[in-house]
Amino acid sequence: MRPKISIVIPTHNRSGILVQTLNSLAVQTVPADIYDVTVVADGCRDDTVARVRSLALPYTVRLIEQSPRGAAAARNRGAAEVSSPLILFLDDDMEAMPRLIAAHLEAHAQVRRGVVMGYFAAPRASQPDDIFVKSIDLWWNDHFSELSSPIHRYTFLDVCTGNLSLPKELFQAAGCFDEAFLGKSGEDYELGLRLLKLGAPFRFAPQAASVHHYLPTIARARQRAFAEGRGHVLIARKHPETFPVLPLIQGMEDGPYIQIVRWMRLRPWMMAALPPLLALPERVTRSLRFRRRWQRLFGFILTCAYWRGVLSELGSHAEMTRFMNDMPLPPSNHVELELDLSRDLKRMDAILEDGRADAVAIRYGARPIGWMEPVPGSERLRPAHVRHAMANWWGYDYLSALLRQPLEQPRDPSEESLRGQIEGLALPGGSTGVSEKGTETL
Amino acid sequence: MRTFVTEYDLSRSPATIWGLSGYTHVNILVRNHGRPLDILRVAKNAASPALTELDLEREIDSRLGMSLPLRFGYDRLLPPITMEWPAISVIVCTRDRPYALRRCLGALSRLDYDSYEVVVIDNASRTAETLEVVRGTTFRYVCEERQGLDWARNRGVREARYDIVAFVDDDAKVDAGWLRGMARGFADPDAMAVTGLVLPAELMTRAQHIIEGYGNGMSKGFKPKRFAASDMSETDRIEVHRIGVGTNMAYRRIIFDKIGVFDTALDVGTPSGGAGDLDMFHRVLLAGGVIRYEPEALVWHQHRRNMEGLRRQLYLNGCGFGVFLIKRWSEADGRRGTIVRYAIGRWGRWLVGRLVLKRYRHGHNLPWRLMWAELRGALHAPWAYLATYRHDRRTREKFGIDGTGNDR
Repeated sequence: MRPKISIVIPTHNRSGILVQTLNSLAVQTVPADIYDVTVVADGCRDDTVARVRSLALPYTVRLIEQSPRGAAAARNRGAAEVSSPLILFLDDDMEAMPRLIAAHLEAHAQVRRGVVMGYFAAPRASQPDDIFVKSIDLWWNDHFSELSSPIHRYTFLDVCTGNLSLPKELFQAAGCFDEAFLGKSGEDYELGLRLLKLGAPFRFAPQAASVHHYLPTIARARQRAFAEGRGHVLIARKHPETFPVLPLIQGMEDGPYIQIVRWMRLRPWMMAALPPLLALPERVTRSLRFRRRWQRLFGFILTCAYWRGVLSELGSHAEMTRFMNDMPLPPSNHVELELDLSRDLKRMDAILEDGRADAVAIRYGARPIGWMEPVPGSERLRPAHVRHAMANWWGYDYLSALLRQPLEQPRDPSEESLRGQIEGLALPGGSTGVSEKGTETL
Repeated sequence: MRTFVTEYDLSRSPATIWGLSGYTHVNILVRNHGRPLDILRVAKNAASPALTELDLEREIDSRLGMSLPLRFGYDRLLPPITMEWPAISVIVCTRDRPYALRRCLGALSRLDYDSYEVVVIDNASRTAETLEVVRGTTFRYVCEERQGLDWARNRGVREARYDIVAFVDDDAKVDAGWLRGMARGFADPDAMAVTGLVLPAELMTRAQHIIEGYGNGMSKGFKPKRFAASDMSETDRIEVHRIGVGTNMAYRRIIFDKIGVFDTALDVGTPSGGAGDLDMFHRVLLAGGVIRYEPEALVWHQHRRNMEGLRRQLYLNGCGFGVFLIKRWSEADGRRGTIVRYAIGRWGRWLVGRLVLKRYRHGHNLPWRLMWAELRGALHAPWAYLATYRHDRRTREKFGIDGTGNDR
């Protein structure tokens, strides 16, 4: 029988944690013959191959070895080899909860040709007192609680390939992972962007849970920020419309970020000496739990690393100035759909579902009520998004428009604007054709 | 402070402008049948998402109302619309700016004009991205290896097929009626060159607001003007920056046969850092040509977003104008005394005077660093002058062209 779902696990010299993950996949609520596992050993030089081979597991395991080419290449390789219709990308440090596979399958049964994101959290025992570890955990917690909201508007920045499943056909239609991201971070965002462009629906499945055995350290966080800086430049180069939603936009205007970059040029020795110099106060404030102080220090360390990454990817300061000057800012006033509540209130859901617009303007007669702005690299607006905004933010404006409406008299013709009076003066010649919209995107 | 830039045509039915959340101001270019009338700067609540038709009409009535009849009356004096539209060659000079160029070419492909061609001059780009961008369009691509904006412009003049040659920079976006405005300027048979209105395409950052508030940015007003040497004093002929900017200018080709092409020692990409356009305006006037300023030939220019870029631009402005003055002095095409008096008495006094004003009266809103940058540029001009002509000689030796200044 052909398995329904294939799990692809890239790994690199972490045999201990990998074995734990593989063992956890053996105790699933679904029968072992409906899934299989493909482990891609990306340039492993430890005992990974031998240990995987020696394991006795109820499901089929395929082991692929390749020379070190990075996680993106490993995932592509694994995805190319599997034969089942669904792929679940799982990191080697994700210990699966028993309902992981079942939950992914259920979610795919609900949403056709969609992308399902699973949930993961750190094991609670790790380092409960460390404010750094806690802050990282909190970040993930916030991330997932946002995803679980029914009115969340998915963007490419939500995509994380640690625990993510999608149809193989969709993965290949989107063009797989971009292997140019070797040594940079952000290949998952970039894939997510292409999936969103294809119009694939995203779902978050909180039941598809796993435990993330990962101990964050300051050094790793710094490395990651550096890799993110490099990766974001690559994303912005491939998809210039994403520039305004990446942290890169902060480099457009002069601010603390640009000051840091300027120091990097003017006093490179200082920037090289800073991280080791800051390591001590960072450790002191962390162990004394001076939360504010520590947060500012840590934020500064990460920012430096991020902009160092940006700079190293762009090559030079001149190039960076040019990049920040030339990156396009997409027009924010592009109205795709205009709803008049005095007319369309009852048919609102149907109109929004048909339109699937990027930006929606809501008005009541002549009064503007609200505006859902286009967010580059995000899913198109669902009726739920607009309903939520109406219920939470625009209720007052709607009510006041409703109440004012009968009070507003039609305008007195004698008070007609000057524009009307001088209309006669204007030459009829030179008409450039009358368009229905007076404003244009600049 | 973020300003939204948009336009509104009185001849069209008004519509609500959406998407304004986060903007504190809106810059509205008010037009009538496509002709720019004025810029309206409207302050708004940053939280409100839209400017309605009513708001818009109220603003226009109260702010421009009195002057509108005058402007409409003025419109009638313009040449009739049923004129012959000459064919125009558009030259875009660019270097390693693929994203800006893509935007520029996009706007050029939407021009509302019948017969025109676009030639992209790639001025010694280091990557092949420029070529990639042009490949996606129907425009012509020419590579110019000698580095310097004026080398590229001269190459453009040589490659152009038509009798009118218009230049636009890669960081600008032309308005759909741009070439019609140019053609209207050239309807005057004496006009040898036409310049046009340059407005900011984007006002998102502090640097962009500063440059726009600094001597009106690049805009030279909303009224057509005519410049001829016979009507101008000698000082006026030095102050050619009042005529226009190189981002938006066009020439009749015959003028190049008469007075030669652009001076390759000048403008961006050489040590002089600018003034190629000023030099050309001056020479056209000197040869008895008329230059017209046509606000209808409208170009949206994207100013530098960060202060670093702005400072560099002001430095180059100072340097370029200084080199221009020295060139005028050395060629003695006016009384030298006038030039020296202008350089020290007017320009120098202005550069230093505003520093004093800023110190004692808090009278100037340009930041110190920018003022200094322009002054430093001006002081550096004599060295830049020597360096740029040395550099030009070397370039000519390297590429095997004699140094007569004209390679046609």
